[in-house]
Amino acid sequence: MRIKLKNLLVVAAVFALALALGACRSSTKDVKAPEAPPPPVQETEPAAPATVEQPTDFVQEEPASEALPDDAEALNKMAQDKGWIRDAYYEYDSSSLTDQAREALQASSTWLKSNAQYGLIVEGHCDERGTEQYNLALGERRAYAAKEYLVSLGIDAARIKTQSFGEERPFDTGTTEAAYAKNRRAHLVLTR
Amino acid sequence: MTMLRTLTRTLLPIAAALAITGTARAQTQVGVDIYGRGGAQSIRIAVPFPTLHEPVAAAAVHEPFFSPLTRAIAYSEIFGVVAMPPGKVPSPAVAKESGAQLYLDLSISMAGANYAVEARLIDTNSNSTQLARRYSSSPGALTRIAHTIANDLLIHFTGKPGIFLTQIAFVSTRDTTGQRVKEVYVMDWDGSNQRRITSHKSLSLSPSWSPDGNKIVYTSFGKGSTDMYVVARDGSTRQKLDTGVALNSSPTYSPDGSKIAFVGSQKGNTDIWVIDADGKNPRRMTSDSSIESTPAWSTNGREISFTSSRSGTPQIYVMDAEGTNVRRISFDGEWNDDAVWSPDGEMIAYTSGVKGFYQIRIMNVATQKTWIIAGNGSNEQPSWAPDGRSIVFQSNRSGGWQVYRVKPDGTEIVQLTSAGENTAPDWGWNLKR
Repeated sequence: MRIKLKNLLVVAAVFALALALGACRSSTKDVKAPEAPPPPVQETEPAAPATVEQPTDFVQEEPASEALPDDAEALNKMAQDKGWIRDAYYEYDSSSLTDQAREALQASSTWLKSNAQYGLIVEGHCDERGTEQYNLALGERRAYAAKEYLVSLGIDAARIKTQSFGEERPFDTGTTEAAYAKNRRAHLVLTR
Repeated sequence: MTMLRTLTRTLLPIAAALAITGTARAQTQVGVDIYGRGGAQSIRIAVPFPTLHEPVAAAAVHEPFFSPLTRAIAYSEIFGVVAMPPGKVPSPAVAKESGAQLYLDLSISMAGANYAVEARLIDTNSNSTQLARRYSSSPGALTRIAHTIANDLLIHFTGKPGIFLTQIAFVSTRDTTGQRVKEVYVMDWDGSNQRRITSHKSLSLSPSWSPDGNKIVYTSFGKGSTDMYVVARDGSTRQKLDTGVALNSSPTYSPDGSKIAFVGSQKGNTDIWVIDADGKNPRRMTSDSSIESTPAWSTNGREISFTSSRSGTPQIYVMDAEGTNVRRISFDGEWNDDAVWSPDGEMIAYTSGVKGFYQIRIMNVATQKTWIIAGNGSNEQPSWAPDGRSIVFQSNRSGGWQVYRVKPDGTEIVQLTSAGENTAPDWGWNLKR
């Protein structure tokens, strides 16, 4: 009973956090939007090309979400840096979702729902311990476990591809447990 | 008992060799000695440096021809190479004084743009020529002539070709410029003639030779999907196999070349799948909810081994090729994978994790007794030579991953690669190439 209550609290906290994050994001947007157009800034920029370029930027930003980079790499960096999408981490030789993994995927699903124009590749990764062939299969399970959870949170399965990289693309090439832990993940990659 | 079995196993091929050599022996007086625990036998042969005719230069002949020739002759174990005394002009008579029964007389000249290599095998007792062959090649194919001569010597004395024209496929990172790239390469048995046969500029993994030596199946990464491809041995043509499932890893040809076993995934559940070699008729062979990986056909094609986590840790299992009669065979080690069957079907080599380190372990299939080829670092992904007398594998003992060759008893280790990192060796068993 106590445990259940604790779980409930965790879930509640996660949702609160997710809401806060969402709110935070939209509020920065809201704050920015009125702040953005002040003409004085423009006036200090005398060059003609700049005046042509800047207004279109602001026009784009006002109606929809903030300006997201066209470049896939820049987009993904921004989405990860801002915590819009977050990777899920796993225990050694396991594809079970940890509490951290669920939290990360919940946060990601919130953003994905409000940014339905993007597809997603969920990459399954493993640490270098273990054998390469087996780890390709393990990475596949990790990727799919993350996808399945995202789908259960309401993301359309058709938006999500999975791909296992096994131990081929480590994020940290170190040989400490901290490095290994970074490499056992479902890495979320936005696609257009 | 085990000793006797081992002795019988090693002596049988020698007896066969003796029987075939019998007639030659009667004529040539060349005997075969049997000595030592390993049952190594040798015909004592002198292989002096070739006589060169203008404008052939020694430097152009040593590395591409003479080194691979002597390496191959020494590897065969049929021959023991006798050193010639220094300061004497090599001749059959001098070789005889040094205890050689045979003298391989080589000469190389130019015929137009090509090399012409003449090889004469002389019995030092009778001074009679036992074998005389003439070979011709472009300058780039001298190594191939060296391997052909070694093969011809073996055929002459044992009736069976050697492994010296076989090739090893592997994966190399040497073409990496930015993010790590892996392409499929092939090389000769001794590491010579390394050449790239794919150009996906992504990750290409797990090459496996077709039994006829004409094709290689492998796994390659696209954006958001991973597929199997079949490429011609020279890289000239490529076909994608549409399996209808994900992952498509660890592909391997059946011994008759008609099928390919691989790891397929449906909804994240990886199982062993089999597809016809032309890419038709994919079917699932296992149905457990655990991880299944890394299939390998038994040498007679009747069984398939694979790795499964169904017991809690990765272990090796064997099933009938129809998917029935599954049984676990590995019990030593906490993480076992990469099983491959020896050419005689009696042994299985695999990667075995012991206390966090990976070693090549060999199992006698009948007795399930195992032993380890000890080595520093991690040692993984073994593949048998077609004569069963060597194994290639990947090791990071020197830092980066490289491909090594070793005898199943752990002796005679040779590093075959050095450019970039090199992994996933697969030794093609076709002897005729």
